[in-house]
Amino acid sequence: MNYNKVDAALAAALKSEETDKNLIPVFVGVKKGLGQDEKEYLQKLGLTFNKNVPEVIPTTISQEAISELSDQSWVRYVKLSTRLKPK
Amino acid sequence: MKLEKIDPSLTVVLKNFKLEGLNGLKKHMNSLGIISSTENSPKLPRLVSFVYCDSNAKFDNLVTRNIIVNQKKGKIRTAFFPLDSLDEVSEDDRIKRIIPAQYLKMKMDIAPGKVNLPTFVNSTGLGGNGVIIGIVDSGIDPNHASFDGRILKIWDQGLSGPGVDEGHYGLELSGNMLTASRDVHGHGTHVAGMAGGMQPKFAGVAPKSKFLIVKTDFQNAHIADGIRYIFRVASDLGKPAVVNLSLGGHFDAHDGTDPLSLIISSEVGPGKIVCCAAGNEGTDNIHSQKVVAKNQVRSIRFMIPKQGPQWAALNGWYSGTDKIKISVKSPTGFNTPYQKVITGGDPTREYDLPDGKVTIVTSPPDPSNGDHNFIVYVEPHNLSSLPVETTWKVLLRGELINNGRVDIWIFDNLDQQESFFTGTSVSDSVKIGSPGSATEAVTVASYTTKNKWIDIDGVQRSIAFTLDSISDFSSEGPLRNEIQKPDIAAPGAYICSSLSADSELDRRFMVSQSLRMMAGTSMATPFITGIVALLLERDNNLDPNGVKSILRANARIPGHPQNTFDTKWGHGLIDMSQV
Repeated sequence: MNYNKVDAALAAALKSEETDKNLIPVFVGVKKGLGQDEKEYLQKLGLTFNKNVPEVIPTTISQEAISELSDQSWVRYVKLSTRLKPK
Repeated sequence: MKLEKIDPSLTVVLKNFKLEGLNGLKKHMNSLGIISSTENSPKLPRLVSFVYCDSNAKFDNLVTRNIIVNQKKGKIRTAFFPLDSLDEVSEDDRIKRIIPAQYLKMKMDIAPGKVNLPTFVNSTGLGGNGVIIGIVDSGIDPNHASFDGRILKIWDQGLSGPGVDEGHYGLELSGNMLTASRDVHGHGTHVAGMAGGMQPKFAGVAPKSKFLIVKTDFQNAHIADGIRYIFRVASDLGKPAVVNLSLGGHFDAHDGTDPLSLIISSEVGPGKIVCCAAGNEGTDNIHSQKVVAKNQVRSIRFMIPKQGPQWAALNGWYSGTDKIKISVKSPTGFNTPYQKVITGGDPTREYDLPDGKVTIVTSPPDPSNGDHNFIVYVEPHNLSSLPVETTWKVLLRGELINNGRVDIWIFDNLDQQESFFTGTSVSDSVKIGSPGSATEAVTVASYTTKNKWIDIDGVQRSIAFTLDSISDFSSEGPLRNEIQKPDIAAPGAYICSSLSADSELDRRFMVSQSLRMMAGTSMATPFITGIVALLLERDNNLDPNGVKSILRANARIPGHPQNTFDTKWGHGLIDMSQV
């Protein structure tokens, strides 16, 4: 796990016993212009791209997947998805 | 005259007529069914009314005296007769009660008038035709008359199913299957009604638009999926779309660089607009700001209430060019070590103080904005057994300072009392979080147009909101990087709109079986969403800058010159009269 790429909220969530370590909602930030290998890697993990914003990918993945992703040079960050509320 | 049969409002009318003649009727003519004649006309004033009678009673013999009872049967009928005949009608044994007809008003009567929306609609004929309004919220009541035949699809993210292209979860519904999704919260239905509802006694801003609904669990990643879904479906249909996000939080950098804000800013464009709520934390002490010098220690006080979640979470941000160490001090004076930014490993440290457990996370700079983010969690021991609330402190020690400013927000994602900053640690600014902080979104503040209503049981209700002013609860800007937000203000308190039949509601806030009152920047936002729908009908290529230019050019803060910006009002209250 490269904690330099994991935001503070996600670092705390990974430590928390209340977090379901198999299903953690996150945003994965990747570098622009990914190659085919990198795209296939992400697709194997279940991530889907959006043509408008391919560099920010919302997804729900396991702690192991977060650890793997954070070790990839082309992954910029992995940030915890938080719950908002009606205003 | 049998006065006991006559409704009190009619006795007032009679009294005024006897004292003042036709002039005495003028004040009642906008509210009651009185048809008056001009001063010198031989025609007498006439009354439209309800009459209560026996269900089989016949009134044919009254026709020759111009007393018309419209229905042949029924216990409650409508009638039309000269006001002078009221005496005779009341004396008739067949008649049990006489109640004058009343003019009903569209239930959003106050708000649109305050911003001259009827003027704009009447002069342009716009109604949102050909435009899609997307609502990402708690769902919608698919059976509500306000939306009859105009809900294209619902993506219910909570139902089991294969999902959609943007997220393989939930179920996409259309047609007869729409009713599988329910809005038990009620928020989404009210918001949708404001933006584009339509029924005989109520109209939203853009009543001819169509809806795409995302019922979300409010995870911001799922909200992002929902926004993309709406724009994709609208694009497939060849329609412009405006997405309404009446939601938000404070676990972000408050500068538009969080993932959801970035996705919004990238997704919008010509014919694709997003409107967001500014937030309702205007009177909540959820933000603190300090400037730390080198080798200086600044402290920030926060209190953890005895009732509530029994823990506190704080989200802090400061410049990536600074190095600041973080410590937490407990109510009895114990404190954690000062924790620096931790690189190359887990940045989380846990400390067991006598008063409670403290977790401090000090991560390296965020690649999205280059700034430092730290998080503090505090779980006091035995909080509920303490006699009073306890005050904790975050201590900031400057090690290397170029900027020095530190902003901290309380995590406020719960519907119960949470922690708050106290005393000089409170900073009433920078309270617009994601997604209201998205630079390309139209961020909406709330303006109060109504503070009284009659509830479903006929009781007058009132709320201590100052009328015709920016709502106290409306969150203040600007963003952490000084970008001006909110953008605009619109009516948000108290607003009457569609009531979801599946929601449980205090009757004090019900106006009828289908309408309810609510307040919040959540209500102000769909007002602007509806206006954007009208603008997109007129020009389906409008982009966010174009929309904001139009809104700014037609907004004003009362008593201030045009183009004045205020951190609470934005560029002011929208005025549609000159658009």
